[in-house]
Amino acid sequence: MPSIHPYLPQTEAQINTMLEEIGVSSIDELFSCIPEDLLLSRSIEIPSSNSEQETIKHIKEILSHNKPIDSIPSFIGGGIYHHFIPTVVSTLISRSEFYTSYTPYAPELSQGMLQALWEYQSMIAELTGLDLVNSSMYDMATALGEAALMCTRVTKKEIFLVPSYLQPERFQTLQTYAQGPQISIKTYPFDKETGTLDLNALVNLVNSYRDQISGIYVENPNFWGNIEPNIHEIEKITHEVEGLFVVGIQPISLGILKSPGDYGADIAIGEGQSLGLPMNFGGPLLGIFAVQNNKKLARAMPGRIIGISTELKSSKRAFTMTLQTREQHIRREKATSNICTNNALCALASTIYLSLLGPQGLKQLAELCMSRTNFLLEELNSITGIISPYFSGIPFKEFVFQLDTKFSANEFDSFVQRNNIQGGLSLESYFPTLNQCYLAAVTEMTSLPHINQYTKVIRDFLSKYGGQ
Amino acid sequence: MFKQARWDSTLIFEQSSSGRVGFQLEKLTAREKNLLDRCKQNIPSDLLRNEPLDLPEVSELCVIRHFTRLSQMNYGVDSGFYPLGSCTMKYNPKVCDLVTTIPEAQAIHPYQDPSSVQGSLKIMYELAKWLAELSGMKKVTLQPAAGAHGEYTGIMIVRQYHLSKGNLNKKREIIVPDSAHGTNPATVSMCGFETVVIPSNEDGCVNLEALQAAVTDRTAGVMFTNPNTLGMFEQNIEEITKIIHEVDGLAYYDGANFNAIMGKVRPGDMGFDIVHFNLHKTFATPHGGGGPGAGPVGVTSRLESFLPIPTIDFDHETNSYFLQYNHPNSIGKIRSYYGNFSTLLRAYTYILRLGYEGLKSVSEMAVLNANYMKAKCQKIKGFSIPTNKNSLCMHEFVLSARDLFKEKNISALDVSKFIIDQGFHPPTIYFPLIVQEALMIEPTESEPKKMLDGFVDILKEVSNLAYADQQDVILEAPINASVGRIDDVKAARRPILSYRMLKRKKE
Repeated sequence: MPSIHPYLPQTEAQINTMLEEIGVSSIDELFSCIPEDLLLSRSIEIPSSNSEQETIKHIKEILSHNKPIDSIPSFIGGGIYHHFIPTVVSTLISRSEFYTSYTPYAPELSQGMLQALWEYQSMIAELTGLDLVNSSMYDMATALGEAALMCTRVTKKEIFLVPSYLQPERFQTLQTYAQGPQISIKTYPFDKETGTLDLNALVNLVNSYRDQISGIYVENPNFWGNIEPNIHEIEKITHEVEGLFVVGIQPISLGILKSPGDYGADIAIGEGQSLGLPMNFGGPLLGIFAVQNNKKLARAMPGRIIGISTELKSSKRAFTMTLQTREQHIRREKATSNICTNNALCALASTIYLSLLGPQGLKQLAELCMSRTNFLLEELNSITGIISPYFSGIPFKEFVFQLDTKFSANEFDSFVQRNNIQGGLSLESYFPTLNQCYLAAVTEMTSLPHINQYTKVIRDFLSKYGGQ
Repeated sequence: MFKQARWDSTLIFEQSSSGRVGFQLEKLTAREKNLLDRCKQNIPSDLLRNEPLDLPEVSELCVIRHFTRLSQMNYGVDSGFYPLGSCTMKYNPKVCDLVTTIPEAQAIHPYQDPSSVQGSLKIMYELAKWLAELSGMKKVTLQPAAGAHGEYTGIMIVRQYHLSKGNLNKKREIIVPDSAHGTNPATVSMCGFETVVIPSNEDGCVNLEALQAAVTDRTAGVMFTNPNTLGMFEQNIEEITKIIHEVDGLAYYDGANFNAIMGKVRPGDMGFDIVHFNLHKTFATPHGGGGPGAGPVGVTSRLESFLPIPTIDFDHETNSYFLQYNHPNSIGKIRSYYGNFSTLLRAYTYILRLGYEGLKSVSEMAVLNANYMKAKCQKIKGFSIPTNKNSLCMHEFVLSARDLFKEKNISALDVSKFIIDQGFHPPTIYFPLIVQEALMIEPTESEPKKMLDGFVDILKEVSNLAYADQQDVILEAPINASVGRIDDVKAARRPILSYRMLKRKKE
C-alpha cells in the first residue's frame, strides 16, 4: 500500500474502489505490463521522506555554506548582474494562476499569460527597434546559437563571424550549436588600444570569405564593457556581403543608446536577467530574440510567438499563439528549432519590471550605472600600480583594469575575498594576453561607500605586497 | 459554477500617462552628474538615443492591478484540475518555492569563487546523484534548460560518441517512431542527423518488423518514450535496445513520461544509454506559463566523458565540491553557466519531501488514477480507446472521439472547449498524431477520486448532448472563460506581434 503523504490525496478505501472499477486486485497488478525481470526489486539510494519542517531546516543548513553577495560590495558581472528587483515583480510573478500554468495551449483559459507575453514582445520590440520578438529563449548563449543557425537558414551560407572577445560561455555554446548544421565560426579581433572592434581586421576577414558569410555578430556594449563606436560601418559591411547583421544587447543600456533596429540590425539577441531576475547562480535566465519585420525572417525565426486577434463571434480582443507552422509540434524535423518550453515566467518578470521603470526609469538607471562605473574607473586610476581603464573605449557598466604587480591573480582574489568584497572577474584564465586584468561591473546596487571600500582594499594589497 | 474573470483586455501601454512613474532611484551626486555629462559627450551622437522609448508610464498600483487582473484571466494547477496529457500538471508544493527565495539561494553570482557556493554545488551534486539512481544511469548533467534542450544535449552526445569512434560520416540516421513528440525529430535535425520515421502499432508500441527494417549501419541511434505517448509500456523494450546496440547505435530515452515509473523500473535497466528528465513535469517544479523548466540528462558510464562542461564533482581530499572543466571529449557547453538553479532546488526539495517510498507512491497513484479514468471513459458513448480495451495503461491514456465526430460532428476540439466551461483545463488534443480525434488525458497522482469522477461526468454530458442532437450547446463553448473561441486564422493572416505593429495598423 502506498505511503500516506500530504501530496497524495487518495485514501485506502478509495484506492480499493478504484482498483475494483479497473478490474485488478492490487496496485502491483497495474504494473503487470512491465516484464518481471525489469521491475526494480531493491530499494535505491535516495533519502527517505522528510517533513516540511525538516526539509526547510535541512536546505537552509546546506545553503548556509553559500556566501550571497547582496549585502557586501560586489563588482562581479560578465553577463549576470546584481540589480535591484522592485518588490512588485516578485509579488506579481508569485500569483499562482501564472506560475502554475502550462504553456497557453487552451487560449480562452489563458488570456492573462498570453496578453502578458504579448506585452513582453511589445516592450522588447520597443527596446530593440525590431517588430518581431519571440516569447523567450533559455538564455543569451542559446539565443546566439539559434541566431547563427537562423542566419544559415536564411542566407544558405555557412560562415558566421563573432568577436574573439566574446563572453566565454556564449562562445562555447555557439561552438556547440554550430556543429550540427556544420556552421563555421570565425572570430575577428579587438583593437588593443580601445578595447573595441578592430575595423580593419574585420574588413580583411570579410574580404577573404565574401560570398560565404551568413552573418556578423557584434555586441554593444561589448564584453569589455565598451560601447562599439563603429556600429554603423559594421552594418554596411555586413549587408554588402548579404549577410545578416546580428546585435547582442544589454537591455538596460538601451535607456540611453540607440536601438539595434535604428542602425540596421536584422536580429537582436540579449540577456534579460538584468530586467528583474535574481542571479540564482546563473539560472533561470531570459534569452531575448528579436528580428526585423519581414516575411523571410519571420518564417525562419525560432520560438513561440503570441499574436493578437479577436473572438470568432465578436470584435473583442483576444490573444493566441501564432505563426506556429515554424514550430516542432507541426513541422517536426523541418521546424526552425526544437524549443517549446522556454522561460515565460522570466519574460513575465521582465515585463512587470519594464512597466514599472518606464522610459524615464530605464534612462535614469542606465545613466546611474554609467556614471558610477566611471566613478570607480577614476578612483582606481588614482592608485599607483593600477592601470584603469586598461582600454580607452567608452564603458557602460563594466570596464577592464589591470593590476601592475608581481603577485598572482589568485593571491589578489583571495585578499579581496578575505576583506568581504566580491571583486571583479579575473580575465586572464579566459584571455591569457590580458595578464592581471579584471572586469569590474557597477550597478545601482554598488554604493559610493562600496566603491571606497574596494579601492581601499586594492590600495592595501598593493602597499602590503608592493606594486612594481 | 465556474466563471473566469472577463476584464477588458486593455494593454498596459494604453494605461500610460506621460510623466507618471512606477520606479524611483537615488539621485546622482554632483560628481556623478559631471562624469555622466563627460561620458555622454564622448559617445558618438549617432549612437545615442534621441527619441524616448515608448514604454508604459504607469504607477505602481496600476502595474499591480493590471497584472493581478491578467492573472485572474489565467488558469493554473492551483486553479483546478489540469489533465493536460504528456505535461504532468501535478501539484507544485509551496515549500519548494519558499526555499528558492532566501538570499543564500538567490543572491549568488555564477562566477563567485567555488568556496563561496558550496551549498549550491552540494544541492546540485546530490540531485544529480539521485536522478542517476532513479534512472539507472551513471552520471547526470543538470544543465539543460528544458526537455527539448535535454534532447538536444543527448543527441549531441550521440554525435560525439560516433565522432570519437571515427564513424560519424557513416552514422547519419536517428530512428523516431511516428507517435513521438515533435521535439524528437526537430532535435535530430538541429544536431545534423536525418530522421527515419517508423510506423507504430495501434497501441503506439514499436512495430518490431518496421524497426528491424529501418535499422542499418547508418543508424546512429533511436529516440523512444516509454511508456509511449499512448501511455503504454513497451514490453519488448529489452529486445529493441538490443537491436540498436547490435549496429552500435545508442538508445535515447525521452523522459516526458517518467512520472509513471519512479521506483518501479529504470531506463538504464531497459538498455537505454541516455535519458532526459523533465523536472517541471515529474519533479513538480511549476511550469511558469511556459517555462522555465529543467531537462537534466543522464548517461551510462561509456558516455560519461561526453557530458557538457563543467561537471560538478567532489574532491575527497579537500572535502569540497568543484566545477570540473577538464573533459577533453565533452560536447562542450550547451548554455551559459550550470543549470536553472532555482528549478533544480525545487526538484531537490520535492525529492526530500517524498523520499524514495513517496516517489514510488507517486508513480503508483498516477497509474491508478489514469487506469481508473480510462476504465470509466471508455464506457461513454462516442469515445473509445485506440489501444486494446482490456490492456492497462500507465500514467496517461489517449481517448478517441472518432465516433462522436463521425456520428455527431463533435470533434475533440469541441469537447475540449466544453470542458473549459465546467472549470477544468482540457486534455491535450490531436496528439499523438496516429490517433484520430485524440484526447490525451493525464490526471497525475495529485487528484482525489472525486475530481476524476467530476471530469468523467463532463465527458458523459458531452456525449448525452451530442447524441440528443443538442450540438449547439457544445459548439457555443466556451462561454465561461475570459473569451470565447478565438479567430486563429486572423491572427496568422495579419500578424500583429507587438504594440509597435498595432500602432502602425491604427494609423
